[in-house]
Amino acid sequence: MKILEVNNLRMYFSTKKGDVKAVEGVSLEIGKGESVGLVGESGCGKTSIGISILKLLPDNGRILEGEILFKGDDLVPKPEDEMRSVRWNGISMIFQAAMNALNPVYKVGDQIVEAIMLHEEVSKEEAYERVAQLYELVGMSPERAENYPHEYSGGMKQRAIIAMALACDPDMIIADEPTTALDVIVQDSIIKEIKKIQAKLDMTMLYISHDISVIAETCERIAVMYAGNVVEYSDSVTLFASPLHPYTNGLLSSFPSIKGPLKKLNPIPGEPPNLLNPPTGCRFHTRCPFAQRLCKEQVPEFREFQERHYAACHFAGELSLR
Amino acid sequence: MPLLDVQDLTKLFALKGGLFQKQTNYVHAVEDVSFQIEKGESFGLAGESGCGKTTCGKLLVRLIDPTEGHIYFKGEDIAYLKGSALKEFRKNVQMIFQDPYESLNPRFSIMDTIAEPLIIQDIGTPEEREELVANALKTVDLNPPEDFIFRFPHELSGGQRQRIAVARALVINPEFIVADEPMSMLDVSIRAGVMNLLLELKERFNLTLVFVTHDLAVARYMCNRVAIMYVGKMVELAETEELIGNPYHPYTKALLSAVPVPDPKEKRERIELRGRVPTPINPAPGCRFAPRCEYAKDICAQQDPVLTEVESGHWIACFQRG
Ligand SMILES: Nc1ncnc2c1ncn2[C@@H]1O[C@H](COP(=O)(O)OP(=O)(O)OP(=O)(O)O)[C@@H](O)[C@H]1O
Ligand SMILES: Nc1ncnc2c1ncn2[C@@H]1O[C@H](COP(=O)(O)OP(=O)(O)O)[C@@H](O)[C@H]1O
Ligand code: SF4
Ligand code: SF4
Ligand SMILES: [Mg+2]
Ligand SMILES: [Mg+2]
Repeated sequence: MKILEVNNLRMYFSTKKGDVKAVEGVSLEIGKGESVGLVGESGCGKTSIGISILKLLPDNGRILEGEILFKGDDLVPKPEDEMRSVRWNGISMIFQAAMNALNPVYKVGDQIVEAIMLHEEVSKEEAYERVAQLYELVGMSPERAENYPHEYSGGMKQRAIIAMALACDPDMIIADEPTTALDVIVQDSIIKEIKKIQAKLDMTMLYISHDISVIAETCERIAVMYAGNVVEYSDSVTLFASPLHPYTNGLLSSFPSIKGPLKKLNPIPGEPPNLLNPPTGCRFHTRCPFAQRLCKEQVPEFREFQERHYAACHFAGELSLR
Repeated sequence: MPLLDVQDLTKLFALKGGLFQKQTNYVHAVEDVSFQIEKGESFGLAGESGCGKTTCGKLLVRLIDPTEGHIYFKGEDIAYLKGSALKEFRKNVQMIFQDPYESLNPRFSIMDTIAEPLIIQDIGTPEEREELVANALKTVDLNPPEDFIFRFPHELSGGQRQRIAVARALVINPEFIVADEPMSMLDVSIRAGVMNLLLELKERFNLTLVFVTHDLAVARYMCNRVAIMYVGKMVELAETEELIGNPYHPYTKALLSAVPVPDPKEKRERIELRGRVPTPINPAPGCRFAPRCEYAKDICAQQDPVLTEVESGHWIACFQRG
């Protein structure tokens, strides 16, 4: 069963210089209990997709087109008061750099209790009891809820943020770069915790990261994003073994690995385009080694090539990649 | 003779206490570190945030003064040089801060930015400098130079700014470069491009490179040898493939086991560490890793393990194998 289905979503930010076309015709389907990674370079629109799904857009952001079906129900036309309950126990989001947003003057546990009581009719005791359980779940001793944020390490803050996101038992979590600011050992323990929780609660997850190594470890499916488009989407093993999109191929060749033979990196030349004025046709054509005239003129369709393996490239399947 | 012979190098930062604080506290940023670097080598300094990598790099090019120890550059101790002797030494060395957003002065044009080391060193007439700057731009593939020379940093993309930082380091034709990679480089294809550029330039100009990174996969790609640091100490040093394939130190093993691998089929064995990185402020005597080490014996809390060569070219600081 599909828990989330995004169809042809378009979201722009208006700025003095014009519209930033941050999400352009994105489609994505996620099954219940699946962990899906959303990967791409800085500025390609990953966070924009996350905040579009939850309709947490800044004042200058607007959805122009598309559907966001959550359990079959379209979120796009939903009024704000209904969205609030969706955000709490439907889809909960862990924001990029959220750990820096903990209020320094309140105990961390109190902040989570307050959040719970704001959304649910429970007593203070029940809320504290739940915080204790959540702390166990994210691998922290419940007494630590009594501490202030500055008494936490970065990893502990991030665990507390995850606990808060889980507080009202959401069906799905969107985690935006949850370990990017952390050291590798701490990152690893958080990833392990997230995987454990995901399996235990059968949680659906959209995991956003620029780091394909982290995504490869955490997610069973991967969506690759480039310049506002999802350009490829499939299960992780297939994506790594036989990518269909030249950008996916370039991204995979940009990461060194600590395992296996030492391979020369073969990064994509140039840089991602400015989304104020993205290239015509296939947005990747300015950097793609396989680009033809057609690519400049026509937007490639996001097509399903094999079961649940999608790609947006005019020549997908005909190119020799990897 | 090695190009660089570092003996017992130490850097303490005094922390200014409050008005009534009698005792001054010291950050032991780098402590008793000894190693040699051969000409033409690419030497990695790796470890978690705050372990002293950047401080060590800055000491090597004498951007800061050491507290104790010696740095022999081609046989001459440059650790305490001052005035004109220091300036003379600086003709040979450069540091690249790879964070393109922080390292370039926004009010300096590209010409001013790259020419700065030439002006400091009194090299060339204005016309000659312009030519040297143009050549440096060509070297880092910013062509044609006239297109860049009078622009300002904000008029360049992230990748171009990184290349400017490299050009600035190369313009005085140094023998030795320290390149410091920031904690998280989100621009994936740019990062890979700059790594390849640095490797290419190292070969072309027979440079000696110290590469500072928290990412061991990156260190593997960039370096012949890697040193692992932990709370100001060097705990292990070996040829990169040897270090990765055959680590001795318990900390190195844990660190390596936490590195995510860009391959969804890879199943890693994790080594879990208890506790967290201790503070470098007035650290306890003995091995810095002892509170987290499963092999710790009494001696570990009493004596500092010394970096010792346990096999040809493979050095560790641990009583277990030392
Ligand atoms: N000017 C300073 N005054 C006081 N303490 C300092 C100073 N510079 C660095 N330190 C401290 O020295 C220690 C080592 O810092 P350093 O910047 O070398 O770490 P690093 O390994 O480069 O870390 P990162 O990976 O985060 O860049 C840290 O505890 C840091 O807070
Ligand atoms: N509030 C905003 N106003 C205008 N432009 C924005 C805003 N937020 C993001 N953008 C732009 O939208 C694009 C996508 O950004 P984002 O979704 O944050 O990317 P990512 O999360 O993949 O790094 C970028 O070009 C970014 O500069
Ligand atoms: S559509 Fe053309 S430009 Fe775009 S990825 Fe495919 S081959 Fe490259
Ligand atoms: S010296 Fe002792 S405490 Fe330190 S790493 Fe070795 S065994 Fe562990
Ligand atoms: Mg983002
Ligand atoms: Mg540093």
